[in-house]
Amino acid sequence: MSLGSRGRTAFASGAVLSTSLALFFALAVGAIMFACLGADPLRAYAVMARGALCSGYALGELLVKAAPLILTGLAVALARTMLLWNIGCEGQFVMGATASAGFALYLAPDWPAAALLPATVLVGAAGGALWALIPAGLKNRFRVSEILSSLLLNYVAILYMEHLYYGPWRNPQGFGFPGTATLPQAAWLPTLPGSRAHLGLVLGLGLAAALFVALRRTRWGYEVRVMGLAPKAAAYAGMNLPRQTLTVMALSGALAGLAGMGEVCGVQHLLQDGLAQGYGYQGIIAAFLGRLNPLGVVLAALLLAAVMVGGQGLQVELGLPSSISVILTAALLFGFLAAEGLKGLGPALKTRAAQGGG
Amino acid sequence: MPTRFAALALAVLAILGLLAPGAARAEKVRAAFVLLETIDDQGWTTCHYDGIKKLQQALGDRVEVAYTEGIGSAADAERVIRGYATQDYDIIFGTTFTYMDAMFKVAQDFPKVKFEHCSGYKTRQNMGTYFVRMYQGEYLAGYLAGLMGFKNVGTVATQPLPEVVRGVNAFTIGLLKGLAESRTAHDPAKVNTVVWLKSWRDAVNETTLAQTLAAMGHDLIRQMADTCDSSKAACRMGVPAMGYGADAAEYGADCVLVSTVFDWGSIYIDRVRAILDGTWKAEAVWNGFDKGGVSLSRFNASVPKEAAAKVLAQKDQLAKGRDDIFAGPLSDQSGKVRIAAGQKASDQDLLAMRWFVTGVSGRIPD
Repeated sequence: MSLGSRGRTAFASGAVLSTSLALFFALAVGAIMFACLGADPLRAYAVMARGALCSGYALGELLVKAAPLILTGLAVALARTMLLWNIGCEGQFVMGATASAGFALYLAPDWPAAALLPATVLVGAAGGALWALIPAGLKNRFRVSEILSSLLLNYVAILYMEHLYYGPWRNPQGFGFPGTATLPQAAWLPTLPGSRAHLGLVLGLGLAAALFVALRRTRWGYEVRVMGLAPKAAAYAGMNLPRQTLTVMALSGALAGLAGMGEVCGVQHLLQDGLAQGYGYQGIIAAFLGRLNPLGVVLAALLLAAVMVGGQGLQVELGLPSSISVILTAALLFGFLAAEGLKGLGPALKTRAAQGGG
Repeated sequence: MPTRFAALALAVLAILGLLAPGAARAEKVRAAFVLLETIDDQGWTTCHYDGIKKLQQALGDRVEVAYTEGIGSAADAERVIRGYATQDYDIIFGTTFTYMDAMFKVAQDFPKVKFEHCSGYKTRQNMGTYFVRMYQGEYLAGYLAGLMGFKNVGTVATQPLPEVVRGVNAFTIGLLKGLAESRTAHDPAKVNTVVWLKSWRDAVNETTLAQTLAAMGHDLIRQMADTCDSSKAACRMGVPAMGYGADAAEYGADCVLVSTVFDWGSIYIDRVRAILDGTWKAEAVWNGFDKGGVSLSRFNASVPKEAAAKVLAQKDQLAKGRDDIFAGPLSDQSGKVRIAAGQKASDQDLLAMRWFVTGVSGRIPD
């Protein structure tokens, strides 16, 4: 797959083209599906839009859903910018959640909010970062593919978290049900009044802007991009690839860890079943729909969140199956890949036409 | 004149009815359900959906139902529950444990909406809980197995929680009773071997575990998972099985002797009718055969008539509210008496049960 890694001018026009093609493709697939299920496609899309956008509450919910997607999307995009595949965001998400929950419940439950909250946030980031350093270290030391190791570590992380809340961390007042006790309120992320949208969203937006600037304006960002575009040139120029692998994977893991922290400290307020819902994997979709551009990732995450939140209205109002939003998400990604493929075909066709004409 | 009088009387009655405290009758109830999997999952959610259909059949125009499938996380549950509450649904049912804290939060913000949470323990003025005494069904299934002479059962248990531990115990108590009545020689310390799935449903591992148990010579497989793959695997290995949740025979496990079935419909009808009558209040509903909530499927053709009759006689006792399943003396696996003769486990004991009775082989993981 040759996604991204193109010049900046190509980016602007290419981005608009392939993103709108992807959108068009997804809408068309959705319309066909709605028609097959006996629903009026226009009405279905209206229901979705209303469910996701047309009230303060709906918008708040969209932001709740978008917050972890922005962070995991950034995590995948950052790693991919230097040609690293971080498929382990799900595990880093889980380890971030676990670390921050454990810290708030057992290490610092009595700290005042002013200290506990920032410390919990940092611990969450650290949990994800440390987990991501394992595939990075294995890659540097033993040339183990980070695709495999990061993916497999997802299962380890989830099992470890389950072990904790089924076993030693189980809520003693919980009648034996799995799940930790509720975190101390001082560790809860502040929310927007009247909504569940929490500080994790602000973190995501801030970090997206910071990454955008850092990748384009700093020496570090320059190195990361060169390593992604031309690894051999980077090595020739004396750039330290192994060290940068560690840094970038740790940062990527920290972003995913923050997403997990946000779900635990901002939304659920305890560790329990249903935490690992695939935000790590959906981050891959967000990253590529956003064309690995941090600001694009934000838009893509908002779009995916809108599809997921809006899709639920379909079931209530039109009686359509709940899997529609999953299919629409998939159609978005396929549309994007198809558009990328078409763009590759474009120049080739032009050349052929020119040859045929001459 | 009589008609006018009747009209007047009706009007007075209606006003009195409106003024009577706590008796705000409703003409029509809007009920919403939040579901874990899809309605065709052949297990947990299908059982709830069957309950919804029964509710619609029983109350017809007087109930309007909406549901949302596939809500697996507390974060999503809160959005969906809050969404229904803002759309003025009268009652919202959350059908899995994970939703408990989310529902508890939303219930606080919508004091006029009624909430019902399946299988949890947190309640509010406007939030009740409901669950069924599945262990009564498990006891009957075990009893049937014992009467038919199965003395080396393999159980594919799900999550190591009190609910499941209680079910394994009830099955084993019934099994030992049946074995004694059928005079089958058996090892009293080891009639039911338990292995853990550590999940409510996991088709692949259900199959492997059931196959392993059958290959190790267990003569009956007890399914406990939400899907019937362990029963199906047993059928393929030529070993009979006991279904759980939905009627496993309906989904292709034709070697199933009987299934212990969730029957949520009676609870849904009761709760919604209570709103129509203006008598709803938050309760911790825990129904067994007496009030409906659990039932037995049809028996397999291979079940002897006498055994079936004995099981149904026990079921009648339970239906009359005579539940002595956990009556002492009962000992745990180490032989220590946990419930003395003449005593009976309280509901509190049952809800927190974390020990296996004598006869179970296997341990509860921490």
